[in-house]
Amino acid sequence: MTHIKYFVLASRQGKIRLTKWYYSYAASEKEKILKDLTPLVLSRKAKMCNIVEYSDHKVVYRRYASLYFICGITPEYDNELLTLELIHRYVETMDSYFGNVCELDIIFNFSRAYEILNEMIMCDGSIAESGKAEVLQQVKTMDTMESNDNLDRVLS
Amino acid sequence: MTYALPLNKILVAFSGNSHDGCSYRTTLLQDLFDLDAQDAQENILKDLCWRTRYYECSFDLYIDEFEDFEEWLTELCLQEFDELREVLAGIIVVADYDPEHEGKDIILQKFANCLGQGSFNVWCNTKVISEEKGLDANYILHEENTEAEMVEIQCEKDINEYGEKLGLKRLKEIIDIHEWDGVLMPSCQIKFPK
Repeated sequence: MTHIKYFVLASRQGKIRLTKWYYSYAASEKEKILKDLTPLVLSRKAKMCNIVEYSDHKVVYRRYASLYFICGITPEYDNELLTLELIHRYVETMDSYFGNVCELDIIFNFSRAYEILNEMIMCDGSIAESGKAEVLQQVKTMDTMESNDNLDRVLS
Repeated sequence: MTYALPLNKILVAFSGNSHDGCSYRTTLLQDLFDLDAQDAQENILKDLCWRTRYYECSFDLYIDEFEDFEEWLTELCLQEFDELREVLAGIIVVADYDPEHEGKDIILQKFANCLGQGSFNVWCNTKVISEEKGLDANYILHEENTEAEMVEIQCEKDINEYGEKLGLKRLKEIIDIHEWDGVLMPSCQIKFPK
């Protein structure tokens, strides 16, 4: 059983592109985490470990191109390596959906980035689906429904 | 009442002193901003258009050359250039970076801080240096300003170990992801990939 606390996507320039909280943090705590985490992760060199202890929990991160995928985990329940795999699977899924995903795709299609994440991780931080094909199928179904909805609206 | 001017100007400065700084002028301006050879010789170009697959925006290009980078940078940071700095979306300096220079840290720190938050500062290094030295320079820049970066123009590889674009492609990406003022979405609707 996994208990991910949060999922943050930050750019190399320190800009937060996506945040998802799976634990009830106060707004000030969220702000503090984001303020602390970005420089902490961004300042780490290539050969350094991808798992960092932060506050009362651990942070697992992985860099893909100019983006840092950062995950706060509960050490008692979560497996760090599994979290790294989950991040990788998320990137793979977005890569398949967008076709070689880049930062600009996430900026302009952030709702899709959230939907893919929502398909993979449930609101309590546990893994809902790890199958790439299944996640993509669900997101494409949502796209079709949205397109049909837009079409109906235009026709009506 | 004060009016905030849009940050839609890019300042590109080429080194006239380095062995190949100015020779990059035409090629870089043509490749990056899609200018023709004649326009690449101008110093001010207005109402250019930056296009990506998601948006397009209008910007002005200011082109400058310098003999001494430190002197030029000091001048740019003077109070009399406040108005210029306030309307710059970003600054691109094309010059040699010497990792053995004694005052390199101070130059990097000064360069990183020459513009305020929300603007990109890119140093296009025209000198071939080791990957390690390039990374060190980027760490210094990044500590000062997360939006400051050094890009290796003479890089042989297209992407690094993280899959990040290098060289001119990275420079294009930095401009792409900049939060431009007055962005236009050509289709008025984001197109989702099929």
